[in-house]
Amino acid sequence: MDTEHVEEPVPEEGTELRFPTGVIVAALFAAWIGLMALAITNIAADVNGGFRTWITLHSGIGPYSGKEVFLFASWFVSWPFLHFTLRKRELDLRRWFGVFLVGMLIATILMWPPIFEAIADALKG
Amino acid sequence: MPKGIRMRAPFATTIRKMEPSLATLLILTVGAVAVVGLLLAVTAPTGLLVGDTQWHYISAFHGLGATMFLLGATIAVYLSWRLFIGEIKAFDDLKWLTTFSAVMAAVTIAFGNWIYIAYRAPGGPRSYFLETLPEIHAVFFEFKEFIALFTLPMFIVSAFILWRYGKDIVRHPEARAAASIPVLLGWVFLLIAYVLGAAITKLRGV
Repeated sequence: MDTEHVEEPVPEEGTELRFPTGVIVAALFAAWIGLMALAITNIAADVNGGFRTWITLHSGIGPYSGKEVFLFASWFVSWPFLHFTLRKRELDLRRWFGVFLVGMLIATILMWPPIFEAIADALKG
Repeated sequence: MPKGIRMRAPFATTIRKMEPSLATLLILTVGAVAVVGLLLAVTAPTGLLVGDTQWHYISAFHGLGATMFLLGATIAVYLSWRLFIGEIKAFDDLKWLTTFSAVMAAVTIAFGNWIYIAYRAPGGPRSYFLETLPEIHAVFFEFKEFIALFTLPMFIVSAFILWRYGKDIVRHPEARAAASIPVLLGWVFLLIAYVLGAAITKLRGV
């Protein structure tokens, strides 16, 4: 698969290239914000029956429909905002990518049912 | 330097650059497989394999979409590794495969939403699991339905970075990581959803 058949040669290694990395950080964190919105909405729906009913936008799919809307709305609203805020900035990508990976770990753990149900039970008291 | 997105069909370019004899052999082989495949599909009682209700067909498209997604994403993971270590040559292939994977993630999620209606319907798999094996729904299915959604942002982020910066990111180690690791994460999320989906369907399909 990884064979040489492209028209343009890949740039030579050796000289590192620098460019504003804010755009990359914006794309990563907008995705993370969407996934965290999904996790938080999911817990909130477990805690509050009224909220669960409110986010039931489609009777066939149930509250999952509203959870998806929260994910995509948070993602696609935050992305342009972060993009235009950060696009000209050269951020420490190593550091911010590390923060993103830790954030992804947290978002994934929050989606594991025994964890999010325990959090919801604790919030319900 | 960031540059504009340039669309180019990778396979057509590749075939055009091949030796004429090899290109002919490839086209003839693909054509022969297509003809035989069409013949088998038309004459075999394929409907028996799928089922006879609308939900069976939606379920089949969901599974086929996920399988195509898994195939594309698996190759993308290998090419992402080559990018991560700064030794990628087939950069355009990676761009197209992450884009394909992002599209297939969206398609699979859409069919997943559709089939979820049948899953939740009275007398459907959800009712069955809640009565007989509640943990299957409460733990495994719940996790599967959420983790499947994680695949789309990962592939879109990676495809966005690859298209926006192009081959320039090969000379930027941190940007290489930011473009390649989300592909690996997306693939892991996909694999979890795929295995759980197959196992749950085996226990009780729609």
